[in-house]
Amino acid sequence: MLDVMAGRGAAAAEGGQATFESLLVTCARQAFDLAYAILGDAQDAEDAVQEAALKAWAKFGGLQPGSSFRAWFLTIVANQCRSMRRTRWWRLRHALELPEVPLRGHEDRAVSRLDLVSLLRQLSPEQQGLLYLYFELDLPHAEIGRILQLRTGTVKTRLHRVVTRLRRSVEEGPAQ
Amino acid sequence: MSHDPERFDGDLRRAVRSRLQPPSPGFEDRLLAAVRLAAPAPPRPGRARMATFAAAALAGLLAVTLVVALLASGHRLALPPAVKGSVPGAAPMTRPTAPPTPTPTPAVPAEDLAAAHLENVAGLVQPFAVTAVSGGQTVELIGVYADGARTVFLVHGLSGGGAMTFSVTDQQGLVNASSRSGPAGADDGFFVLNTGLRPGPDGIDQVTLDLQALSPHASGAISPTARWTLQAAVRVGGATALAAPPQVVLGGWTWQLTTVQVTPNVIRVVAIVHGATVDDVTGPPPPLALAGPGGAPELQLAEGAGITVPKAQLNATNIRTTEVDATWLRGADGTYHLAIRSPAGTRTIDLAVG
Repeated sequence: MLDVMAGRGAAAAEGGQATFESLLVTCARQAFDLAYAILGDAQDAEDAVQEAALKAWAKFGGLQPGSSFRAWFLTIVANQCRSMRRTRWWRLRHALELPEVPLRGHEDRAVSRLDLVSLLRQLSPEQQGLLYLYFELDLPHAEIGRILQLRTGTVKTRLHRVVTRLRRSVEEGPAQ
Repeated sequence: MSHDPERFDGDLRRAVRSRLQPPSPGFEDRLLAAVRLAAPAPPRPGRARMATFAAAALAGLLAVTLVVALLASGHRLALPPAVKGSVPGAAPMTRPTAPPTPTPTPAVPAEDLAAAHLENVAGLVQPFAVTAVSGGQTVELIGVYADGARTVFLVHGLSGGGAMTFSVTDQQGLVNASSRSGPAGADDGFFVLNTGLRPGPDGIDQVTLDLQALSPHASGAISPTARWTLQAAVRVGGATALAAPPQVVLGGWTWQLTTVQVTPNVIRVVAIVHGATVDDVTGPPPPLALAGPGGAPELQLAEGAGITVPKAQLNATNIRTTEVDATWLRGADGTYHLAIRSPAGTRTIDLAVG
């Protein structure tokens, strides 16, 4: 997996903006995917990444030389997503959204429990972000912890729980 | 679906991936444009002078008259004899004497065009030679640029200094818009209305530019010392509407984009912001910003915000409805990026120009 290390004094040096932009482009799509996993809405995800990019640019000078730009930027994206979800507007908007229609029939339940994608939708935003970072980006637990501001042990525990829960849901098969 | 742990992980990986979707086209371009808009803009020629007068424009949204110190020299220079169309020896405060029709003249000086940000439409500036005399001083309207979003008057003979006001009227009365003015070449000045004129079916608007020189007294009072009225038949160009979403919802603010247009000279956006007061949308950072096809910020020529009802009718509800009006100098054709800001975040939309 490609990662990008910030060069020494990149922000302070002439051309710092060009450096920032080139680093940003390398992980913009990953940032969008993470934001989408957490927020569940493409437009909101774009807004979150854009806002995160502005914050990152403002803080770029403070990025330690040799540190991972991607991990640093994804941390800002994750924080931005959390901030967005905490706003009154967000809560109001999503409170008005219709819940998923409860499944009624035997066959529907069978299909749902076997459909991992449907099961993923029922996870919390944090769990979805966790799964994205682990399964799609293949990040180590420690780096996921930095991005989501969790201890490494907590990342392992939560990952284990959510994967176990999903596996059980699939293994249970059709409800009787 | 497999129950084997390793295969399950593979299934889960594919499920996570299948839930993803690509961002909308141009996402990365908009992202970079937003960063460039936030970054310190590179200096541009004439920007410092523009900024000086932009401050006046921000304050002057509600009136066409704008008091601005042009050249505060404090004394009037000798002027050449009155030229064609003037009435020599007219007393102070006399009414105009200029013919209402334009007379072809040499091209407007390049320095004037640059000061008024008309270099990209130099060929569309209509030359005039309309003069008026007041207080022993002759001023001359030497050029007008008029399109559907911006109107600029270029005037010669303003070397006397002091403060000036200006207003523009046509057949329909006062043209009400935000405005600004400033010095151009030697003895010249420009007067801008950030709106289009109101032409008749023939595309011509008969306009009157009213200039008034003001002098302060020791008591602090200001009184007019001279007044020039210059009339001209101005050919008014159009504006082309740009495709844009009718509204953008950002947190508790809803941006209703009422005007998104391009002219040969400028790009202009007018929006009603529901949920925000005038103070809320007053930057920095500016509520609207525009980046060109190359990602660099475009030069903003005007920006203003105002209430949408008469002051006496303001109440707790409509005070949170604000009109924002912004104009940028038009650059090369291509995809521009308009950043719309609110406390909840920034949304960038693309505008295809050309």
